[in-house]
Amino acid sequence: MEFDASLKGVVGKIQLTAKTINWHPNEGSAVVIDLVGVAGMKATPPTAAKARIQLQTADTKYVFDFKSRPELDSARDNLQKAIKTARDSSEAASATPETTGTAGTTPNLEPAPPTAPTAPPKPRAVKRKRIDLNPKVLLANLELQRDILKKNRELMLVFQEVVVKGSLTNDQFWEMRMELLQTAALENGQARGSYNVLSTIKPTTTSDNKINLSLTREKIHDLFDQYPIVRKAYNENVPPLSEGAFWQRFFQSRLFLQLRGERVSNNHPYDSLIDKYLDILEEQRIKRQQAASIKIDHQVPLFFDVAANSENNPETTGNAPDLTMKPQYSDMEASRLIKSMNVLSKRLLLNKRGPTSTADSDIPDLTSELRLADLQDDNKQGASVDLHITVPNQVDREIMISEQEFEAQTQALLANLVAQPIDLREVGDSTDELIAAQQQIQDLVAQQSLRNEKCDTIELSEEAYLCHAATLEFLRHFWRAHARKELVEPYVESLRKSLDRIDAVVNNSGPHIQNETKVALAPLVKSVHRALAVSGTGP
Amino acid sequence: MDGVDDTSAVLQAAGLHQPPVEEAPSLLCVIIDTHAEGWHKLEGWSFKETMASVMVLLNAHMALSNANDVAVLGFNGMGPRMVYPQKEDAPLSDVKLEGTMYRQFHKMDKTVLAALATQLQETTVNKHCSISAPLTLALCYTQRIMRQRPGTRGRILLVSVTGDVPSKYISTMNSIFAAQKAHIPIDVCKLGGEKTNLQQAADFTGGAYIDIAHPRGLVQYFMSTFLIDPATRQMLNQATQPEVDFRAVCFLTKEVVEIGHVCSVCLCIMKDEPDGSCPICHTVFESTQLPSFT
Repeated sequence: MEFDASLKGVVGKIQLTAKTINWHPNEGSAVVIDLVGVAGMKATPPTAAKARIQLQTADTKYVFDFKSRPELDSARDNLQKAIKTARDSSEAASATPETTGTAGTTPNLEPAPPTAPTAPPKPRAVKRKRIDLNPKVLLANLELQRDILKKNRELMLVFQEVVVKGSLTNDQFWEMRMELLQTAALENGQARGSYNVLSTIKPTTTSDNKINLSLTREKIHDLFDQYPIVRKAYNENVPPLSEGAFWQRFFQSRLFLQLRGERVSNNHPYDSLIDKYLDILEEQRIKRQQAASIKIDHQVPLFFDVAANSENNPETTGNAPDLTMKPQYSDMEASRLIKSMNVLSKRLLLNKRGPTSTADSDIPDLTSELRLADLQDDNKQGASVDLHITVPNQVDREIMISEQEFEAQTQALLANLVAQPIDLREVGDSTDELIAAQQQIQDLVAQQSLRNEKCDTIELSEEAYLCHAATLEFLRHFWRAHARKELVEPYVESLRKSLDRIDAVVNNSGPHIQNETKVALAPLVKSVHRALAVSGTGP
Repeated sequence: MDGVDDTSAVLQAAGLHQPPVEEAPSLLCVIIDTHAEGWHKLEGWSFKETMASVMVLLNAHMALSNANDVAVLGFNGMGPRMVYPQKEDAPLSDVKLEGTMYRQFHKMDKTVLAALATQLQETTVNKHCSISAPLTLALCYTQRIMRQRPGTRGRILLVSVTGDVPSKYISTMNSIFAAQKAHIPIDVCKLGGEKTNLQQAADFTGGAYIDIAHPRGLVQYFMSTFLIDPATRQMLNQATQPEVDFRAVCFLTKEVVEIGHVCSVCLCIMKDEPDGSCPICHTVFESTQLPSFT
C-alpha cells in the first residue's frame, strides 16, 4: 500500500508493510519506522487548513504532509489498522493486559496510548492485600475458623468436645489459638507464585491415537512470559504460519523438549524452523554469561552482592562447582537440564518480585546502600532497644539459725565425724533398713519401666486422647483466667465434669489397657485436682 | 565371655558390639553437703554414718576398675572445697595399715575424713552456699581429668541435705546445662532439705534423683543405683523419681513460681505482672500487650 506524502517538505511516498512504515523520498535515503515502535499518532482535524499526520516514536517525531483530505483519511485508516495489528501481535507476546485491544482505535487528535516498545517481561503487578490480623476481626471470621478445623482433624475433635459438647464458647476456644488464626489468615492472603507453564501442558492420547493438547489463552500468555524465546519464534513465524500450525510444530520440536527440561534424543526430528531457536537460546546464554562477567543482569544491591566481587566468588578462589554441575562427572545433558531449570526458576522469581524492587534507579547509590535504614530513625526509642541488665538485690535465703546455734551445730558435726574411727564393716548392719531401701528402689524402677515401655508403645483408646486434650483445654482456660484474676467459676464446673469423664474413660477402656490408661491419665487428674484446690472449691 | 563362643562375632555383624564397658576409665565426683544445719535437722541419722556409706561407694567404684578415679568435694557456708584428691598427697607408704584393708582405700578414706574435718573446723560463716558453686568446681575438675585422660567418663553424685539458695537459681541452672552439654550425669541423693531444682539437674543430665526414704539403708541406694556406670544405665531402667519439679524461680522475689510472666526480651521470670516495663532489662511493654502474658 502506498500513499503520497511529504516529510519535512520533501516529496515522497509512504509504503506500508506488515511490520514497518517505509517512507521513500523521490530522491535521497528512505526512512523506516517500526510499527510497534509508534507511540502515538495524531491527525489534524478536518477543519484544519493543512492535512497532516504526526507519528510519535520513542525518540523522534515524524510529520507527514498530505495533498488532500481524502488521501489523509485513507492513509490514516490504513496506518491505524497496521499499527493495531502490529501491536496486537506484539502485545500477545509482551503480556501487558492493560493495553490490549485499546490501541489505535481513536481517530483524530486523541493520542493513542503508548505501547511497550520492547518486550522484556514486565513484573506483573502484585496486588498486596492488607491482611487484617486484628483478633476481633479474626474471631468473627467463621469461615477461616471452619477452614482450619477442616484441615486439622485433631483440633476438630477437640473443638467438638469442648465447644459443641462442652461449655466453652467459640470465641473462648479461638482466643487461645489466636496464632493459628493469624497464620491461616496470612497463608490465605498470600499470592501464589507463578508456575512452570510447560509442565502443566500435558499431551493426552485419544482413542484414535491422536495426541491432543489443550492450550488456553492464559497458558499462551504465561508461556510467552516465561519463555521469551517462544514469543520470539511466534512473532517471527506466525504471519506465514497459522497459529495452529505453529503450536503443532512447536510442541513436537526439540525446542519444546529442551525448554520443558526433557532429554532430547539424537533421533528426535529436527524442525528447521522452530529448532533454530535452540541455537539462539544457546547464543543468548553465552551472551548472558559474558554480560554477567561485566554487569549483572538484575539489580542486586552491591552491598549484598557476592557475585559482584570477583575476589569473593568462591569458584575462582578454589571452591569448585557442585558435583552435579561438573560436565565430567554428570553427563552434559543433565547439567544442561539443571541449568535450564535454574534459569527458569530465576525468571519466575524475578517476574514475581514486587514493583518496588525493580523500580530503583539504574545506578545504585552505593552510599545509601551502606546506610542501615533502621538506624536512620530519628525516634531513638523505636530504633534500638537498650538493654540495661541489672541484677536485682541479692535476696539471700534468710539464715534460720542464730550464730550460737550455728557454732554449736558445726562443732557437733565435727565431733561426730572425728569422735571414733569409721569401721566400714558396720555399714549397712540393719538388714531391715536395707530391704526397705531396696524396696523403694524397686518401686522407682518399676515406675520408670512403666513410663519407658508401656506408655510409649501401648496405644490408648481415642477417647483417652480426646479426653486428655479437652481437659487440658479447660485447664489452660482456667489458669489463664486465674492469672488474669478473672472469674474462674465457669471453668471449675467443666473441670469437675472432666474428672467424671476421665473416670468413665478409664472404666470404659478395654481390660488390657485399663491400667495403662489410668497411669497415663494420672498426671492429668493430679493437675485437675490442683486447679480445683487453687479455685478454693475442692474436688 | 563373648569371645568363647561366636557371640561377639554375631554382635559385630549386627552392629551391636560395643567395646567392654569396664575398660573405659570412669571418674566419680561426689559432692557432699556439709552445712551443719542440714545435718542437724536429720533425725536418727548422722553425718558420720553417711560418710561411712559414701566411703563404701568410693571404694567400690575404685574396685570396679584399675582405671577408675574418684574426687570428693565438700561445700558449706565457706564455699566449695576440694576434699579428695589433695594437692599435696602424702606418699602411700606413710599410711599406717589397720586391719586387712587395701592400702589405697584406706589412704583415700583417711584423706577424705581428715579434709572434711579441716573444712568443718575452718567453717566460720553462718550462710548457705548455693549448689552452683560446688557443681561448677566439680565440672571443672571433671573436664580437666577428661582432657588429661581422654576416654574418661565423668559423673557427679550430690549428697544433699539442704535446699538451694533461690537467688543463685540462674547460676545453678547454668551449671546444670553445662553438665548436660558435657554429657556428665548428675545423680542426686537427697537426704533432707527442700526439693528444688535438683530434680531438674538429674532429669536434664540423665542422672538419677532419689529422695532417700530409709537413710539407714543408704549404702543400698549407693550400691544398687549410684554405683552403676552411666554407660550401663542406658540398658537399665533407672531408679529415679518420676516426677520432676520443673518450676522456675522468680528473678525478683526468688520464690518458686508455677505460673509467672516471662519478659520477651531478656527471658527473666516474674511472679507478678511487671509494672509497664521489665524490671531486669527495662524494656517498656505496651499496655495492650501485657494482659496477654500468660
